[in-house]
Amino acid sequence: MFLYLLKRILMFLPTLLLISLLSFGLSRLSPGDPVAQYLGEDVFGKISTPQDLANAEQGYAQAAQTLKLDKPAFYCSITAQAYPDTLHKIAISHRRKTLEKLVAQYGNWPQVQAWYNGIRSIDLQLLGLKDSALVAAAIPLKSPIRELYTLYLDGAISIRLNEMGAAFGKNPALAAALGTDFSKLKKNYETMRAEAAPGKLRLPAFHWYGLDNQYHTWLMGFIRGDFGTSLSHRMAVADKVKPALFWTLVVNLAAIALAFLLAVPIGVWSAVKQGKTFDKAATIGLFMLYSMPAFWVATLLLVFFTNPQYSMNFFPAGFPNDIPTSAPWWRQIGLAIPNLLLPIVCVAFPSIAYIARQARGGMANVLGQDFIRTARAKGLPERTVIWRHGFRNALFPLITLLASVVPSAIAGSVAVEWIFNIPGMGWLTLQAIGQQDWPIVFTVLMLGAVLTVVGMLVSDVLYRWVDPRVKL
Amino acid sequence: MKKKRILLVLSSVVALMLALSCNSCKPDKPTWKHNDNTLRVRQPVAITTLNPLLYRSKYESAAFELIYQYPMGFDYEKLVLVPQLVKADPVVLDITEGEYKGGQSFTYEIHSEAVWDDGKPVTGRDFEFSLKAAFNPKMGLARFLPYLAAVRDLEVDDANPKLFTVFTNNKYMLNLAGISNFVVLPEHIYDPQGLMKKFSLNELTDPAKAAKIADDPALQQFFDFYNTPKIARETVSGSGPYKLVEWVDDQRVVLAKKQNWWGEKLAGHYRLLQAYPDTIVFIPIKDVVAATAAVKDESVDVAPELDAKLFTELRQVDFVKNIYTFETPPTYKIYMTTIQNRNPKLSDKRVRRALAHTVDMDLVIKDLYDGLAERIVGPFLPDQKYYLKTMKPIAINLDEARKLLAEAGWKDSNGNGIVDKTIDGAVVEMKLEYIFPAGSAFAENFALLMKSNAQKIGVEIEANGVDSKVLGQRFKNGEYDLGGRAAATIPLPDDPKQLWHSDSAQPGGSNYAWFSNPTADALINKIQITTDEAARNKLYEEFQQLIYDEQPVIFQLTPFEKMAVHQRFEPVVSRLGASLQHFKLKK
Repeated sequence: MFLYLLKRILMFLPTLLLISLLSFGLSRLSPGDPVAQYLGEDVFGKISTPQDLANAEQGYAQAAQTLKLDKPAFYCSITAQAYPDTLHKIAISHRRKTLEKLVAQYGNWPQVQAWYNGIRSIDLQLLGLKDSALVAAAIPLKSPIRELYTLYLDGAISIRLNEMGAAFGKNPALAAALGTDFSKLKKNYETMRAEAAPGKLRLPAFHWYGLDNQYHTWLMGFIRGDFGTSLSHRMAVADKVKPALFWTLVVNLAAIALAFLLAVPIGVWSAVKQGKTFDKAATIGLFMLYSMPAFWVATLLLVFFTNPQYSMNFFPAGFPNDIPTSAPWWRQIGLAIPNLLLPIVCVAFPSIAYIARQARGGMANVLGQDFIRTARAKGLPERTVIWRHGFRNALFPLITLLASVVPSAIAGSVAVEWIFNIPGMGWLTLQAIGQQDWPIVFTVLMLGAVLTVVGMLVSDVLYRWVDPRVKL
Repeated sequence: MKKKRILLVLSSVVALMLALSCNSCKPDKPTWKHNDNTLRVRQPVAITTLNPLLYRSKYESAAFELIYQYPMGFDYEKLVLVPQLVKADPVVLDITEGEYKGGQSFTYEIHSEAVWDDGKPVTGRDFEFSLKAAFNPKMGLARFLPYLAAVRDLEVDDANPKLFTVFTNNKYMLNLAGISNFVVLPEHIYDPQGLMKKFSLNELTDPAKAAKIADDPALQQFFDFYNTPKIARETVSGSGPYKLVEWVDDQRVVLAKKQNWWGEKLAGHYRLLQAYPDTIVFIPIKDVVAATAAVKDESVDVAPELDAKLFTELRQVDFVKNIYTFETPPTYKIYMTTIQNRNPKLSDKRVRRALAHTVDMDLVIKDLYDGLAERIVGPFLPDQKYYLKTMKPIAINLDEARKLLAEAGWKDSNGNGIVDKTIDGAVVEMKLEYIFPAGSAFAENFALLMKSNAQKIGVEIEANGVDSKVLGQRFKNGEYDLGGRAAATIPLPDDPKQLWHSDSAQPGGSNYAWFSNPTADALINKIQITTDEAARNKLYEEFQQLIYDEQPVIFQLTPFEKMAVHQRFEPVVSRLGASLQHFKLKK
């Protein structure tokens, strides 16, 4: 068995690695700008002078460095030859994305770079104008020049350049001050188009960056238990996950226990009483339960049972806000129990229906077999026949279920935690998604993946325990 | 027999439940769940930091303002700045000669009683350090700098270190407010190694000098020390009346009143040195239904920002009315439909005005906001002294909207029900996307209402709910046509630069409408440096008229606060929100 487990673990490693690659890849594709998210304010919102622009750019680069986003994404990259291997060093995401698109269009990085530097140069000069008449005359230039930071399509760029050209045409003083740079910018644009090198886009290029890359840093950190820094909270992800995991485990393990405790007898009894009133009533009841969305039931329970409005003030609302953190964990759970009863019921009830149906199906299958008839013929009491002989053999689907509920127990029940204000993993994950706090989201994802693998291993062992004939 | 037993058990359970329920509904005299002097405050989001320089939201500032202090803070009732850490308003002088000629000096004197928690006096050096920290380029603190941009230096009196003077190089109208309302941090706690001592304030504020020291490693070392969770969550130490006693992540932040706090001796003379609750607990409850349930359950004493519909329902519930008062002061928020003015379809102001004519704003306020909002027509709030009263609300008028579109050259040339126009040689149909924050019922309903009415004038609108972060980025980069957004102002003369100046129209900027107008820029520049109130008000009026005529956005409404406050407290609630430290336990 040891060898089997070892083999399984070794087989799981590539799976986990693949999941880590996928989750990391998703983080790169997800919308939004993590640096802007980390900074949390309009860095480019209050710019009046060239120094302001330089400060904003510096602040942005600083944050990117803190988040290690200034490093290459992966160990290597296979791109077209046209792309420089240092594009990742451009911290400001909207500028980097525009440059990528321009390179994809023209394939000539030096000309693209010259074009882009020309835009920045004029922007800085506009900000640095001192003469009030020139400042006023230059206002029509500001929007088009700044739009050029994000534009890559020919038509859109030409419209902005024409707009700027018209402004220069109207004001000779402005043309005298900035006309040369504008002409240079236009020339850069023409050169970029004329000297397009589409061939370079067809030739592959391989860049090796070594171990100092974002993925390696993230993966090594994960293995060491350092899940990175939360973008919103500017604190270690592990410090956020630990308390959330505690409350999620309390709610979900209690819910799983409740679900199995109620569902297994109902399912077994339904199988035993197949076709009888109890079976029919249980089937209808369970289907009704299964069809009710948890968030709806949670809202109803919260609205009706947590205040005196409907004269059913049986439970406190929400999560208790006075549990001493210094208290031992069992004391904390004890204090929170009145508040957690409704959430536990909400998490448990859809599972009750599902598990009961599985138990009924497995048991009905087993009860029709010869060894059950033999047991009954031997005169064994019905209870022994059902539970010792029948149930043990009907356990397989339930073990499979148990293995799959472990990761979901860790991920938390998002809707229920949200509605009952339980600071668990579901709450944390939903909040992190809303805030685009990807280090937290991917930690939860990876933990889920690891626990799925653990759950599968546990179920393998349980199969063997239940039926020694199973060979591992 | 068995069935009878089951029935008996079931009926006993029902009887027990009824007995329990009747027991809990004897409403003769309300018995309160809590009678202590602890104020439990619901917040829609969890506090993530108490760092007064690197904070992110107003919910965090609501907490740290009880711990840290400013030279002057806002009086919630009078809505003006009044002395907090200083004895009186500063002495303001115009500088007529020297390096800062044309600027101003502001001289303050800190209360002689003011001390930090370890007994060390609060001095001008601490304020100087706070400014230096903000100007450290590694901190990237764009938020404060517009209000402090004119600050150049600070001098502390040698004989009396509580006396200090701040110098500016211009007369920006918000110099006084920006300096007076900037947080004071204890230098010995937040810079124990004296890293920032190496630099003078002038070296950091003067752009030319700042460029020379920008690469000094001490600046980075200070940032690395200051930007840590320890400073944000543990080393939280200010001169204010409260101290942090407990922080349970995503559950609560507990502040307790300091024993023998220095400000108590002066509380009779200084409103902002009064502090009544013994303990203030901030509890994050994001879900609106859960927040309403928490009110009904008396789990919170102050519940701001409740959902409009649920708030209206809550006010009708008898037992809740016996426990809570309902506060609905106006707020400093402005809701608007922002328009991408650089979009060729929307660059003509007649088109923007036509869209404004498609919404019945009064009906919106009545039906979508339950009447808990006030209509706005311009960029400033109606109770500002300089609000231009001649601006008429833009009424729903679809005929006028059609006429304006036609004047702007938009006609349905192919009879498909959507107006079109030839732009740069191509026929373009008036199809627009309206983005709004996903999950906001009001924003969604507003977008759908506009979509429905716009269709009648030949404008096709696709309404899309977008995640709020993505929405923000699309606004910042100008990647949208129409969008629902909110902006916030403060109880100071408005500085329109951030929203309306062409400098702020750029990728990542705050002029989301990309509104660019030379007259507007010139007016904003003048407003910023006009210290004479009457003259400035004239400029404000001109500016409002220009915005009204140009219609860069569609102004919607300013919502009222929707706050429930437990009756055992005497609340102090105004446009600024709840002044928690002034909530007094009723006798």
